Amino acid sequence: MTVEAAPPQGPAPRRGSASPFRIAVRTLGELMITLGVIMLLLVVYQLYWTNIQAGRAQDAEKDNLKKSWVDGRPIKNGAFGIMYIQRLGRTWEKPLVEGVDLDQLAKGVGHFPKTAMPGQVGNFAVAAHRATHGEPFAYLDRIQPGDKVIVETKTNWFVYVIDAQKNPSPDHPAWKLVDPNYGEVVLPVPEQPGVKPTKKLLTLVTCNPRWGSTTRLIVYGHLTKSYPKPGIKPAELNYISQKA
Amino acid sequence: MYVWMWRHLPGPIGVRLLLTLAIAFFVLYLLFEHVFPWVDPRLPFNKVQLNNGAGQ
Repeated sequence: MTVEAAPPQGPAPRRGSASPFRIAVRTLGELMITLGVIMLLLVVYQLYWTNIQAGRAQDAEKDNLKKSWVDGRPIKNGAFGIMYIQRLGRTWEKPLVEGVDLDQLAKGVGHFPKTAMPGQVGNFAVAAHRATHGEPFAYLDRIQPGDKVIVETKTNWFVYVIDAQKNPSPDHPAWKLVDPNYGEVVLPVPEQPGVKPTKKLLTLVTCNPRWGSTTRLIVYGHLTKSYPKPGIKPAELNYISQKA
Repeated sequence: MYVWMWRHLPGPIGVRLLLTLAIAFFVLYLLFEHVFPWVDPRLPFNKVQLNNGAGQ
């Protein structure tokens, strides 16, 4: 059985006098396209714009800090140090700021305020973004035991060395994943509540998976050397002067 | 919607084009300066802190 195409019936709809149904469908379509474009713009904002803004903010923090080290004027609410991790890149050099709120993390690597300062006995614990906002710790999962984390403050260079985890995973001996509620990783002696610290330790915290937040990636280290400033730049930082 | 807006813009086509561009830029500005920064902390991959305020 064949169906013959029905001949067009009635006059063609005149321009500008669309039915309410047509208007509704067209408007809905336009709204959905608009929503799609806004979503794409949000992706652009997250992947591109936040990194540009954070890059500028971090450069400004570093410049202010280096200036204050030279002219001796203290800076308010600014960075208190610079962190270098060769494993994350030859040019990886991020300002250390006080606090781990989003405002502060947008300016660099954030220090958990109640934890030890660099070089002090206890746990110098920091967190940074893994994705967007400059993403300092984007590739923290590449870190290996023995890698150096160098912290420069007004008075010293501190050289921390990354430790292997207890019961290390063969794939990633230097890091482990914990629940976001497991705050014990930033205790003076990590994971040992109430124990008085005797060592100078380091904890690095970021989110995992990179584009999620279901767990936290934790890296431990300890202080091996410190060099006073002013003084000769430590040999551990010589990689910076080498051409990439 | 967009046809309706176009019809209600005043002036000749050149002026309408300029107005459309201006409105588009204003909307972009609103999105990037106000809407997206508001959405941002609500996205999951920003959370690197430890939830119970440890160390803070």
